[in-house]
Amino acid sequence: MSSTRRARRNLLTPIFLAAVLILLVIDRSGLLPGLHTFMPVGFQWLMLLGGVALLLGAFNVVWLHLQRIWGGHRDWPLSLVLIAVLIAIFVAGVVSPSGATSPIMGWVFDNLVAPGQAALFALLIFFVAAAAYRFLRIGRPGGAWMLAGALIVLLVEWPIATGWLPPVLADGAFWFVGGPVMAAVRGLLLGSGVAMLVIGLRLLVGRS
Amino acid sequence: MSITCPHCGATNPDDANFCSRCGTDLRTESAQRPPSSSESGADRSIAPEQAEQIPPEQGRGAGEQPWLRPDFLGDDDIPFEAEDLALGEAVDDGVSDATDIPVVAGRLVSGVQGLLEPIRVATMPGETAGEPSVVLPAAPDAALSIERLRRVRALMGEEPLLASARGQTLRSRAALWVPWIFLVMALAVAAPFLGIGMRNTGTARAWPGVGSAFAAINHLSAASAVQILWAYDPATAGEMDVVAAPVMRHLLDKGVRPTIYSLLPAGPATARRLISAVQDQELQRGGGLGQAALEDVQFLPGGVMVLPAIAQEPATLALVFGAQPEDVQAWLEQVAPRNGAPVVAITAAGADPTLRPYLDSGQLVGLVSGFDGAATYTALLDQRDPTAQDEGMKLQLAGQNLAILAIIGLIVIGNFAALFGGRRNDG
Repeated sequence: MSSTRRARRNLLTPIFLAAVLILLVIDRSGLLPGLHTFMPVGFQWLMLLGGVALLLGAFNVVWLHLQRIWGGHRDWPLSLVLIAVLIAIFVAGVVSPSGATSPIMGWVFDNLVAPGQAALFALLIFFVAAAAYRFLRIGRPGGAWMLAGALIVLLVEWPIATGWLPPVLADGAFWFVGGPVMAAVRGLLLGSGVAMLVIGLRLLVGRS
Repeated sequence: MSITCPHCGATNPDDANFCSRCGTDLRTESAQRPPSSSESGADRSIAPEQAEQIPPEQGRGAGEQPWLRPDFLGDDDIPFEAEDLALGEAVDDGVSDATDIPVVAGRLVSGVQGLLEPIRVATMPGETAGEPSVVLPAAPDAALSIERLRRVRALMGEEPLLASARGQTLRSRAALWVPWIFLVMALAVAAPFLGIGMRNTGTARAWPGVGSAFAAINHLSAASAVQILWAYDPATAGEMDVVAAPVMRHLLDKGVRPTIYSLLPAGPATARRLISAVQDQELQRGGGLGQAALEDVQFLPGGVMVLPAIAQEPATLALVFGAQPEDVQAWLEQVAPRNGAPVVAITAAGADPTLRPYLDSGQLVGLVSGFDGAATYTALLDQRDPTAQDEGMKLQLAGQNLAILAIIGLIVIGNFAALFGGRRNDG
């Protein structure tokens, strides 16, 4: 491909992004009332794109695991199980006239998906405990502050402590979370927002 | 001639010091590689003497681009584990041996929805490096690179506090402590289910926002158009269902037929499950609820970008059921300014601090969060204390109480361990 063609192709992305950006700004500002009739179509396209991307992802997963099975790679039986479950769920959803709300799908969701996801998420408590043990220490730079903050929040979030904790501690924690912590969080959000804006502009003008 | 980045596979000029795509240091790579390696296609991340261990199908292409291999677990593992093991060996020997060849350990668990990623194999209880599957190339400055990598990673946020401890020898005692930490937490969480532990679950604190949320829903009529963003799935349903159930019961009791949207694939099923449970529970209690149209739960693919599409529909009230504050923030940014519907957030306790300023500023008209919010809302709805009768909630609260107690205890023990064992960076 010649450098001219490549440059033109590279220019298409920022032009497209700039067009979308301008459309969104105009839509949000309400400068062109007629645009409201067009924007829903755009969002419908976006949803279609999202659906297609989801399907492509599913095909990619199937293809990858079929390769693992055919090649006899490590843990290929797990890939086989994944493909079998995927086909079973797909068939159960397609065959049943009620689709995603069919009893089979409901059973799978209630007895397999929900407990599995909940169990995996619950494992986080172990990492939280290990991290608290290791990192919340007075000896570290700023560790005393982190320790004090964590202990106050933990105590206030502890339901059984509400009976014997002095209200001033709860009020203090409320102020701590709503004041200094939120100031820091908002600072971070503003900083990241400005950074995203700058990166976006750099992308638009081709300086990324 | 060009250099292929061992990390991301991008092609870089031969004289490049860093990868133009991912920033990987290419100087070590180019120093230890024979000049003709790019033409011969030898795998740069694998020592030549180990090349015969690699299956033929994972030869040239897969070696240069390991992520194309079906059994690839994550390229970040290689420097990560190698660093741990090199440092671990330094601990065992009592000295930091700069010429140790780091060995990649087998990964115990990997990438289950990203939840288990923080596990380092070298810090797992009783875990030792298994048979080396890949040996990284030995180079005179290998230890220096690893040390530099460790510092860069620490500075970039993984362990910011460690980065300030320049020149300190990293001594890992994690293998001694981590099993005990896990055991204590497991006992704390399981104790209520074994009939051990406190039966006093404490009292709920009535945080501001619950009363206004109750009032906003109480003013609705059967004809009110209510939008719901269902932004949680079974992963967080253990807490969120408890918070969402009384609010949903209140909505159905008012005869509202909400339109429910979800951006999560498992969101609609989670919503239907909760609504069915609420209706069944109410039937068992002899009450009657308005029938929610369960088929009205819609999954919207496309993520947060499609949220403005929802704003085309007018609404009297909008409710966001989400475990993360970002879901509420996205609604406030993308939908609320367009359709002008007041917003009530129903969230997990962890999201409360981030969302409370939105309540104070008036962007949220109500905020119900965590067990405290659920108990307060139920008390407003039924004029009773929900924890007094609900055994399931009692168990959950007892588990939460003991888990928090265990974490506080572990923090205290950790500080004592650091005090008596000297200042350590790890374990």
